[in-house]
Amino acid sequence: MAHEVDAGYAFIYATLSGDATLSGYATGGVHRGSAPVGTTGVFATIKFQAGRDTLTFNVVRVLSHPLFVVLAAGPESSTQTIVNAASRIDALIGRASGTVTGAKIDACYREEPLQFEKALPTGEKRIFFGGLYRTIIEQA
Amino acid sequence: MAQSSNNWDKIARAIKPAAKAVVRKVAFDAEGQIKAQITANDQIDTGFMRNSVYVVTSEESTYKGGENALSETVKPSNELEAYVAVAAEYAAYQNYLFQAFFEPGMERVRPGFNKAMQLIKAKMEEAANGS
Repeated sequence: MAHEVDAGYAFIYATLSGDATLSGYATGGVHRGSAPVGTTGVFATIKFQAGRDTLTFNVVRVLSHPLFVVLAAGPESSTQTIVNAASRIDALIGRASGTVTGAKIDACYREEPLQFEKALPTGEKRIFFGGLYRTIIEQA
Repeated sequence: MAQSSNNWDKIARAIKPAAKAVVRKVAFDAEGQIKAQITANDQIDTGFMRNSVYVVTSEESTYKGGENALSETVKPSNELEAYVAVAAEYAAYQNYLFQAFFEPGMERVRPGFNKAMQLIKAKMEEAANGS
């Protein structure tokens, strides 16, 4: 038996980190949660955002719907690579399903696109492209 | 000669105002829940971000503006839509890079929205059946 949020993390992480094309763009790696301090180049992050459960009338949980924010990020000078990484992420999990230990991922799809930028204390600009990915998960 | 009647006209006229009221209520509930989540997350320094959460319906807006505020979002094109937004320009970093407050707040009002719409559907069915 798995916790559905952990199962969602496991599915997305395994799918993204196992892809050679994405690894070519995101040389800074794929990270669960925040990227470690000092990460350079383009990287991808997966973060749990919110969720809800589907219950039967007598409150038996049948499905969980965790929402993850998945972003490709990096310096402004690498904007095109960041866009390529975000597009590859979407190709991999924009309409996906699968299994992980203890859970079945019935669906994973993008619910909303995201894009924003952030000025770092060093004066550099960090660019983010990605989306909110909804998962529908049942315990196996 | 057999005659029949139905209440389709009355039902059709009643749906829109009821749905509009639900949309408005859910939007303001969402504003409250998002603000509550910001407080629960302890994401308050000056209080500007919390106070910048606002609602825009086709008829009203609670946008307040301010020095670090993004411009107001456009009004929805019809009365069955409402927007809930955060004006603080740094809200996206807080929400997507540090700790989520927007989606948790929205998720909490979703059951109420679904329930209210189901109630409207049930009332329509009652009216259609003449009960």
